[in-house]
Amino acid sequence: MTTETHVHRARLYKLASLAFDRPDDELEAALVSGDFTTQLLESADALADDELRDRAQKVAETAPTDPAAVDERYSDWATLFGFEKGGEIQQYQIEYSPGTLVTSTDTLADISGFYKAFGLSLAAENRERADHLCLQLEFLSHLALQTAYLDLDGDESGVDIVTNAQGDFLEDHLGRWIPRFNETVQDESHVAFYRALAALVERLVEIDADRFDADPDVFAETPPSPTEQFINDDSDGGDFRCGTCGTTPSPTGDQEPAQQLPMGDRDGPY
Amino acid sequence: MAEVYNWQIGREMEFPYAESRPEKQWGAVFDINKCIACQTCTMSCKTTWTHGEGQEHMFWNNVETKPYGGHPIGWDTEILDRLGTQNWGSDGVYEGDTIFETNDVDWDDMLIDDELGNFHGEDIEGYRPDDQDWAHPNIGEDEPAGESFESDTHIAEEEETHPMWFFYLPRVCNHCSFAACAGGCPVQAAYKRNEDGIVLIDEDSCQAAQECVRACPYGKSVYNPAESKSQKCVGCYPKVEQGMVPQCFENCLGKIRQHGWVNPPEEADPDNPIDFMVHEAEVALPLYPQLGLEPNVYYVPPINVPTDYLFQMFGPGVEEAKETYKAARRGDEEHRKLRGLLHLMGSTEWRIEQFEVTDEEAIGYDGSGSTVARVPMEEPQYQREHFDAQNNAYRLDVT
Ligand code: SF4
Ligand code: SF4
Ligand code: SF4
Repeated sequence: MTTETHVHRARLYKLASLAFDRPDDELEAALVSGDFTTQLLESADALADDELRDRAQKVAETAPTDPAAVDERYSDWATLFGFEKGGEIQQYQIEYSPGTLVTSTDTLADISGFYKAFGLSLAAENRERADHLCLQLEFLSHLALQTAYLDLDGDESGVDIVTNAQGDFLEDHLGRWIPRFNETVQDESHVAFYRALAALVERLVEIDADRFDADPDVFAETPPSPTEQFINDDSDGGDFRCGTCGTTPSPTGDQEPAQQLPMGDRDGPY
Repeated sequence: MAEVYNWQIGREMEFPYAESRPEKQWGAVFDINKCIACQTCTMSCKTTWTHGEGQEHMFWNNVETKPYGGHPIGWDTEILDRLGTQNWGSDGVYEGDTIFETNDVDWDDMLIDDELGNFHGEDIEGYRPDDQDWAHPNIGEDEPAGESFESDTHIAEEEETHPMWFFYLPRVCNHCSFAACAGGCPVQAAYKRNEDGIVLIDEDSCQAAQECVRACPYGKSVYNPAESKSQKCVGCYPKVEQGMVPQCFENCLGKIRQHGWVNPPEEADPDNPIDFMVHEAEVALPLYPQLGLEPNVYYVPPINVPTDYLFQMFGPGVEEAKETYKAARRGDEEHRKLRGLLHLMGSTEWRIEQFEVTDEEAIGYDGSGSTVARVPMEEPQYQREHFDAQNNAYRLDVT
């Protein structure tokens, strides 16, 4: 792994984060000037992975280049991800994990802990939740860049710390849900640009997980609502979950068949 | 025959193991009259202990509306159905069969070893709830029972019970003296801690037989399919070891919960709050004592609910318990000590092991005798002017 590799990784994560965020002037400028595609292709090329290269190519082909087309992306974005148009594709990790927000506060704490450990915090005007896609991507971008910097400095233990953190973060967080996120985007979106982008991020995360020896346990497909089987052909409004209790039925399966009342103490049974 | 003495049913009873009581027994009193089903307890347990994968369906603490709610669904009617009609004698001794007796098994013949294939506890009456049974923790919430009710129906103060009623039943593991989960486990993974009577499942020994899930009639042992282990309420033992009350007790908004040690009747200490309510005032009763487990969570029955329903749930002491509670509430001198203790309930995160009621206040002490709570017998009341001149506004609330 060369110093350049990390710079290119950092750039890809950064570009993906920018592109998945609510489209703004910064993105528009990057797209219209062509910097977005140039940098994306250059960095994907530098990472020497054919699949990644192909997927980056797809993104470049579908990226809007004139202001009108960028505007259209904005409305696509809102339809897919934005609350203003009831976008239903979630950009939050917890939405892909079992349980719900209130039962997953430990996950949020863990992610915030990662950010904090590297001295990062949300910009004052940013109220996003810690498990948001763009924050996670930007975090990896930051760590990748830091790796390159420490590498240049010859700071080996520093490099160790940041590479371990990237492995851990991919294994515990990003790597667990990106495959599900990509699937959702492929299934539910018709917008070629976002489909290509999700596929690119999936590959990037996959090769990085490999790179750092991370073995993320990908979340299972979202389990059906417990009431689903009682409600016939009612595809919307059939889910009664209030969103606070974890009423998801747990999957069964892999159950193996399994004088005094057994007593014990603090160390366990006697 | 392995006979043990179960004081809650007033007689000896058969049980898979010989009697062995821990040095101290984790115990609790819940005053149902005060529970508002805010589920703060449920969430405090959930966020502390069961937020992991495979635990989505677990509510070690749950609050259900009676008579129609239940988690797992129908746990109470299921087990009562299986036992069939049984009777209490007029002397308060239970004449029916417990879940350990109804299948007429001689527990002495039971081969106890830690062979997984030897289901020595399979004759404990019980059932394993279906997956769906765990999926609706709020089923039946706020659904009332009884007769219809007009908007102008007046319930006189001396009226026994309400024509239409429901009540909230908060439930945790009872850390039973004769724990069926431990009695049923083929590999002795479920055990009772000698120092505090908390019943735990040793995750290293658990072989996923789920016999504890089947045997616990309260539905408080739950299978975790992600870990392939059964899990249950741990009584918040790390806090209990520090002299504190469990999470679901400390966070209870209604202050309905008192944690402490409970003794068998012959060792009862009238200055111990749990012993006092259970054995002295007899205002707190066990949940389904007829099942035979000697559960250690005791309930002050709801006074607005018809006695017949409460009788099947809490046993023969219900009528007297309701009377005693009403008398304490009214302020009868005879029940002053109980009234003081009811004020003290839920007032501190420390375990009150001794208490005393003086002329002005009720005081709680921890295990070392330090004062951990003080509450006045009469709340001071202040009345303010209706008009707040300083802010040029009328006050809605003046007391
Ligand atoms: S926190 Fe207390 S009042 Fe609220 S539901 Fe639980 S037991 Fe009832
Ligand atoms: S309530 Fe159930 S799980 Fe708890 S000790 Fe009793 S039998 Fe075991
Ligand atoms: S005692 Fe602790 S573990 Fe048990 S239900 Fe209450 S909070 Fe949960």
